[in-house]
Amino acid sequence: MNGWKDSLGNFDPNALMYQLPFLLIVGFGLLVLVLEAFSKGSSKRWLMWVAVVGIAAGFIGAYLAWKKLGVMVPGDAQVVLDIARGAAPPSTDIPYRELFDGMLIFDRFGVFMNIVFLVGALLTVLLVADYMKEHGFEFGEVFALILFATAGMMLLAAANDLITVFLGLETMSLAVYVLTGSWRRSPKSAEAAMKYFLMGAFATGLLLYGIALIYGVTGATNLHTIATEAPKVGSNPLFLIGVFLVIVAFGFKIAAVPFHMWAPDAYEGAPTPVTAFMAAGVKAAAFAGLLRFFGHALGNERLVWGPAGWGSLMWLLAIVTMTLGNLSALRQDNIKRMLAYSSIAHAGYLLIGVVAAGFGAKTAQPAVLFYLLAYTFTTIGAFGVVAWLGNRGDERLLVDDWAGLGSRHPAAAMAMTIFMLSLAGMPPTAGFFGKFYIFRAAMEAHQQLAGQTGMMMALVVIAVVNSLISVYYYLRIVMAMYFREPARETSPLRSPAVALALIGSALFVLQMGLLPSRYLDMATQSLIGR
Amino acid sequence: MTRKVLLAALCVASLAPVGSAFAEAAPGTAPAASEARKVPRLSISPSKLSFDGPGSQTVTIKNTGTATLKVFEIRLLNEGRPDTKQKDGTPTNLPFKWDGSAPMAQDLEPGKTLTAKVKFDPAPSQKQGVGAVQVICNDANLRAMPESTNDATHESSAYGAGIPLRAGEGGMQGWLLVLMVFLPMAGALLIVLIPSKAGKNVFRFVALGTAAVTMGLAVYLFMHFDRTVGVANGNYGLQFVKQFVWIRAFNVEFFMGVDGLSVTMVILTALVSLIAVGASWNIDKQVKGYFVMFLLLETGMMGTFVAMDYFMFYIFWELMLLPMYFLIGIWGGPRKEYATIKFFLYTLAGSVLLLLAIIALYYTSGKPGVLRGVPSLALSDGTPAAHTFNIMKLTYLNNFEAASSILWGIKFSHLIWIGIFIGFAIKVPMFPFHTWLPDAHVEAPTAISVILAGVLLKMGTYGMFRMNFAILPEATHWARTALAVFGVINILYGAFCAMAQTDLKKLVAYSSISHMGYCLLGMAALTEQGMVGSLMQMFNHGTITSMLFILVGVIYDRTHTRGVNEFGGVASVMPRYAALFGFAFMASLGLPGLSGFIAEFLVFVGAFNVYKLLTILAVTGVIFTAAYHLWALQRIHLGKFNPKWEHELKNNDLNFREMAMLVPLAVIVLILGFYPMPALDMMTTGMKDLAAFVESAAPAAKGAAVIAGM
Amino acid sequence: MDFISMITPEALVFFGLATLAVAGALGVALASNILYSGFALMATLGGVAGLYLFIGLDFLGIAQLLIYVGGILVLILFAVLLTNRIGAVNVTNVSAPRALGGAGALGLLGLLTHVAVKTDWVLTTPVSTPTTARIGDAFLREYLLPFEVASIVLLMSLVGAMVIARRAVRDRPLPPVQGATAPVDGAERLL
Repeated sequence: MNGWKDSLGNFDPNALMYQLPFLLIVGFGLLVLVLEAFSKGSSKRWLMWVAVVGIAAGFIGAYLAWKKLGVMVPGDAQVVLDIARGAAPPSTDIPYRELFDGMLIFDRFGVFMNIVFLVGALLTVLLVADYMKEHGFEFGEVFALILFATAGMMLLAAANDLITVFLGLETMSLAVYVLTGSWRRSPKSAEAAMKYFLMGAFATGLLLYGIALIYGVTGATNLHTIATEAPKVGSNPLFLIGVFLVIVAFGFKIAAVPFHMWAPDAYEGAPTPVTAFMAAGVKAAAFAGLLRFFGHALGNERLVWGPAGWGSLMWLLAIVTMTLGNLSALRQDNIKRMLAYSSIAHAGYLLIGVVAAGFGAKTAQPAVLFYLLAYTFTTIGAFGVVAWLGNRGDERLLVDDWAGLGSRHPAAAMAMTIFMLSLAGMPPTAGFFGKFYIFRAAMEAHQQLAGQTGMMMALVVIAVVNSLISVYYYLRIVMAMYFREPARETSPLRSPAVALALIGSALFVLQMGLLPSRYLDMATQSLIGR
Repeated sequence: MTRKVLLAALCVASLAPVGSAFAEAAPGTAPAASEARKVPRLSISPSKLSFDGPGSQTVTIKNTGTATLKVFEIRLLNEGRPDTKQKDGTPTNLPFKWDGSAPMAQDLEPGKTLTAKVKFDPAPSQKQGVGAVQVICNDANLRAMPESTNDATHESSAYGAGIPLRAGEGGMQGWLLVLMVFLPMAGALLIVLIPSKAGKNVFRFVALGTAAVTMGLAVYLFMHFDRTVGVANGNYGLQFVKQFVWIRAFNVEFFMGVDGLSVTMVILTALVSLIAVGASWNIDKQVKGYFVMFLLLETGMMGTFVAMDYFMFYIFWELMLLPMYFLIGIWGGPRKEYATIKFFLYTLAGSVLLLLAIIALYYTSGKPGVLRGVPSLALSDGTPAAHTFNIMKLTYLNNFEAASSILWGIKFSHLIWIGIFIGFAIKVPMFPFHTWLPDAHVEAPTAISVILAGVLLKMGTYGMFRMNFAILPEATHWARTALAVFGVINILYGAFCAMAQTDLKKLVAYSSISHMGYCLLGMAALTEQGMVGSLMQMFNHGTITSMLFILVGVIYDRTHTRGVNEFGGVASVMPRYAALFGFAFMASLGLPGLSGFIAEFLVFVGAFNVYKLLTILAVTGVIFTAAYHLWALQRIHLGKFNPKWEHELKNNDLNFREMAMLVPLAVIVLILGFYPMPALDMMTTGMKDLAAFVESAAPAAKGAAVIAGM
Repeated sequence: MDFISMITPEALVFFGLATLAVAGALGVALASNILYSGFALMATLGGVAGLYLFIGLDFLGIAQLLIYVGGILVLILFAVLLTNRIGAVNVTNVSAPRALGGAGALGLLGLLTHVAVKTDWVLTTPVSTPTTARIGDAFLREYLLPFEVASIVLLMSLVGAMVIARRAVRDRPLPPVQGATAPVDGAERLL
């Protein structure tokens, strides 16, 4: 009871710099709300640019935070050279900074994830404005909601405490539920929001239950404390059930089979740009949480493997998720549903990375990060083309609707082809390197387990077979666009913002595929601190 | 429109700084580290070497640092192959030697110097490659190399040398292959930039020009390729090398080079591509897109054959797949959707197996038990690397047998061998994986059939030589009999299927399957003759089958049918066509005096001592081959002229374009039939080295005796 | 340990409150009339509040009563009473058979009971001092961040509720949506 000075005793206001992206995004979210409330005129499209400025500021904040986190070294070739030339080996610690009594941790992992979320938010904002206008449900709060959801994701990515994990997840989810149901005249949108909300609430309950049980056993919600306590209580059934419940809750968020039932309906019903945001941003945030909690804090081999290890469970989850996701996607004629199932399958691939990270494969964390960045560009791009093609009352969602797009809109067809190839994991696109990196990480885990089990190898083989299956349905769209004659007239959105988003993401997908070095370097430097 | 262009420009402009700002933020912020970077720990004198012909020079290495260094590798830019049979690990075949009888790795205390006598016996094409000495050293701090490194600045990083080293840069000659690979891509870009209203002929001529210049470069390559250079001459027997670090995070190098195996394929690719541009002349739909895809395809094919980094190989391998998919899918026949997806999924199934094998090999490479001769791996700029994708290092510096654990009941290296093999067998295509080929051929336009049969199939056998044989020689011995059996099945099955075809194009497609069987049989022999025969067969089949597909295209263009039974007496109205048709069919069935015979003969000679029974079976295949060729020839060209085609065929013999495609091929077939030495010379040294290398991994002789009984 | 000696006043109170909470929850789930469900919820919330008070968490118990019973439950009842005409919503999801759901729930119950019995619980005696001050202190110290972020969550919920619930003044007329299955009216009312 020594007053406020005590509680700020070891709090350095300068450290807020690390939280700059979060603060900026929240600030701009509030600004959008205020501007919306006090502005006249029926069109709120201009608020898009406010949001864009906010996100740009967020990028700058992320850059500053990245710089401030300094050089991390063990993996840095230059440092290796320096050691060779006589420099003292630097501390092997990864730079990080904890704030708010360990509630938040700032490291380059978090900053990288922030960049992923900002990319997702930026593209969504660019897509959503004209889409809403075209389909007649414009409202200004959507930009604030997107920014708040992004802030929630950032919180999740920086969470070092299960309470912060929960808060971040909720902040993000609540905003996305509303966004899903924002197309109020569409019954499908309402149904989607309802399903998503109910399932999300259910998952939240499970998460809280799991957190409570873990707290009951370890006496802590702080991830670091849990990490040190967990090996002692690893076989306690209460702890196992707690971990299991957290996995289930995250399973809902990433739409892993068998917790995916809501996803196709929610993805199909939501306004397409929102679907893109759900598929990319929400998933990325959930994976950030998974990597922090499972890949890192519980990344102790005793906890990972064995019949009761979370790795075994996630191993199974990964296999079921990618296989069922892909097989279901094969049968879809509706492109949005197909992409929804494809997004489920991608969650399966990403789970491989989490399992590999659990085994201490050093490349697994960066692999997941790179994959998420690539996937964000790709999937938002793909949904963006879908959003672009439809017009009022005619959403053009069936594969047959896309026949002959190659001759009618060559640029859009080209962009879609790039996205499809990237989702399928073909060079020279970002998706290829993402998948390659993930498989490579899994093989590294296999090598580390050498002699004990061939299960990581089996996982990679199954993933490879799956990515082969997936090529079929991705190419179906490409075939429809190029190999068939045009079926109907199209009158796509005339929107420079949408065009900017599509061209930008297509270029990034190509760039990350042709010159991946700098992004890979960035990902390898983005390790979880502490 | 302008708005779109502006948008695009904006996007492009925004790309560069965004990523690099983050990537480059890392190094340099810690002042202590950057100061330390300036202190060299080694000095080397002289920094540049010059050799005018064979000679030797002494190099002095001084430790100027404060800690003891372990110097374990000194090399010229052109690397040598350490002879694994040497007991103390002293590399005898390296183009330079340690002074005296020092062991491979030497401790170098601070202030001490070490001298090494560098001997170099360069081939003319290698000479430009000698620029500097590179010393790879190590110390206690560095024993555990980080798995991935991320030096974003790319400054000189050979240890302590302080010399700007750009490994593999061999003057202008180093750029030859790069040019050959990327020239078609540049042509494609040019076509993209030319507006569509420029007219179809503009695109055609740009494509023709590009392919012709590439062919010109191939001729230069043919002239300047040194036939005597082998692995013993250093640089792993590669010539025209270009090498630098490409993706540091993955230890991926940009590494191009040719040896006897690659150079043959590169020349074939350039030749067939040029001919295929001619065959594409009558494509009338979306000409611009067609030639863009076509030239990209050429880049993919070229790159596959010259890439000496496994990762890069894979990228090119996939790069070739996509244009092919569009070329068949957009410009193909009525069932193109089925054919393309089948082609694509089959090939992709193969390539994902390759990908798995690549990653597995990568992680196994560089392990303590696997490395032979040298204590650790390094990238071409000297950065230490825990693992490698470099095909040459995978081949000569790693012994995957040594670290073969058992996975799922099979030796790991054998498992990998099977994975790679199936990946390539699909491409060949080998018997159970062949069904995509006839479908793809029937639907593909003529030019694409030419490319498909002329070059793409050879990628499979090329890959088997380059990966299965070179990287996993022991497993190759283990599987050789199966390989031979599959070869013979291919020969016979292909021939029987061809016999049953009434569609001329399908007939030729199945004949390809049959002919690729000879390649498999020849390589399975693991003898020098067999392997050279196999490679020769790859080249000859490329030229002959191109002729066949062009000939099929000629008659299809005129009559829009390919039914063998629907014609008759065509020889009487189209004498030039009939003559070339007869010539090509004779070459294809292996008539002595034409090039097909030479290859088949070499294969049989090479294989007979090893697999007597199988070879005899294969020889019977020749009879069936002759049968279906002659039947088709007879039914189309002899007998009474079918008056149905009066309008289409009469006075419509081969035109200039068609002659210009067919005659050069015919000349090559004829010359190589009588005087195969230009081609054989080119292949022999490389294949001899490969055969010797594979032989060195042979199991005990009793195994061979059992095999010989077959 | 014989059974009778376990029947202490504390145990009686605890099991009474727990029974109230569980029975209420069952009522919420199983009642056929949504209004009854609402009232059953009151029992659950009240039971939980009682449990909080029972272990000495005065602030939490009172807050539970004030906010959940006094606020949220009343809102729910309002909502139920004002929207009595919900119907005709097509549900496209398949629902698992009741037996399967029951079996799953029973299995989970068994598992949790087993774990609860097996676990070697760390026991602390309930404190009898008021907790309000400690909670307030914690909010402004170690839990400062969640406390602040919660305000964003609440703000967002408000905005979201408003976005979904307000009349669509700016919606422009829309041609009939192709393939719409549920009547638009029903959906509007649902939200």
